[in-house]
Amino acid sequence: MFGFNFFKNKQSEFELCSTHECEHATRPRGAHCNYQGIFLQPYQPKLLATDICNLKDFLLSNPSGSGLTKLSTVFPEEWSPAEITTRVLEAISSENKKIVPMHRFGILKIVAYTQDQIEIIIFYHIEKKSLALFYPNFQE
Amino acid sequence: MKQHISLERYNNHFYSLQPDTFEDLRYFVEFLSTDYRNHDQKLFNQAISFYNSSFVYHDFSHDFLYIGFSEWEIKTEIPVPCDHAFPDYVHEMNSCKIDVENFKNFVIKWTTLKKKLSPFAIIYRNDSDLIDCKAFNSKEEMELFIKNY
Repeated sequence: MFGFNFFKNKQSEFELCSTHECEHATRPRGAHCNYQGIFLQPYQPKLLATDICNLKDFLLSNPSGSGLTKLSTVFPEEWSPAEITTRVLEAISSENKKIVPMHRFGILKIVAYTQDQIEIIIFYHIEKKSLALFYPNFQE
Repeated sequence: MKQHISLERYNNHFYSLQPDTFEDLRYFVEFLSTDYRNHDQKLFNQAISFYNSSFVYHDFSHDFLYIGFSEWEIKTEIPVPCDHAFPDYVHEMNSCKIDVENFKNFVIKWTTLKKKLSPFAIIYRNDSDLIDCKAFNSKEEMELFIKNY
């Protein structure tokens, strides 16, 4: 049911571009779970900021050493992938949520809250009826 | 105004009230709602910046930012474009083009607007092609502004 690219880079850690049949390294994608502070180690995470809910923004690098980066907001480190999934499902099932259709991409963007009031952005694939991506929303 | 997106506040962020339109401004709204950070300077200094679900391409030669939605984040079958391919990947249909100075002025105004805690706002492109924003205390007030602009 779930594509787990939000936990770990689903493809090779040395993901290569295939858009132009080249073999250049690309920037990371997904990667919002840093369970026990070790899940994101391959991406040499650099802490950028911490928000009022103690959520952290990290700068992640492609492990190839190419210096290709991406900002990723990360779930609390004590949350395992299974716990993240449980909390996302709890949040999406609650009444306190906002649904914003993004028909161009065939998805719904859902803004919902965990029981401890962490705001989560969830992208729901309408046709596949599956969760496409979810990550916590940094609060400034 | 050339374009506008009506927005409704939901806690700390604003989200589109026009779900079925996906004009280029919508990419900008999506970026502001989850990926923009006040302290972020790298989008001014780097050609390409990736965020949770948005990208920013800085065209240094013309001083424009192209802000778009990272579709590869929600569809694993879509390859991540590499930096070499990125200038060809970005165009005005898959991103919002904004002048760098316009962006800098906009975010100052936007940050102030968010602090006012108004429940409604619009982001619009004015007749001079500049992107601007305005807050409202009611939906009716917002609709009247749009009608009379």
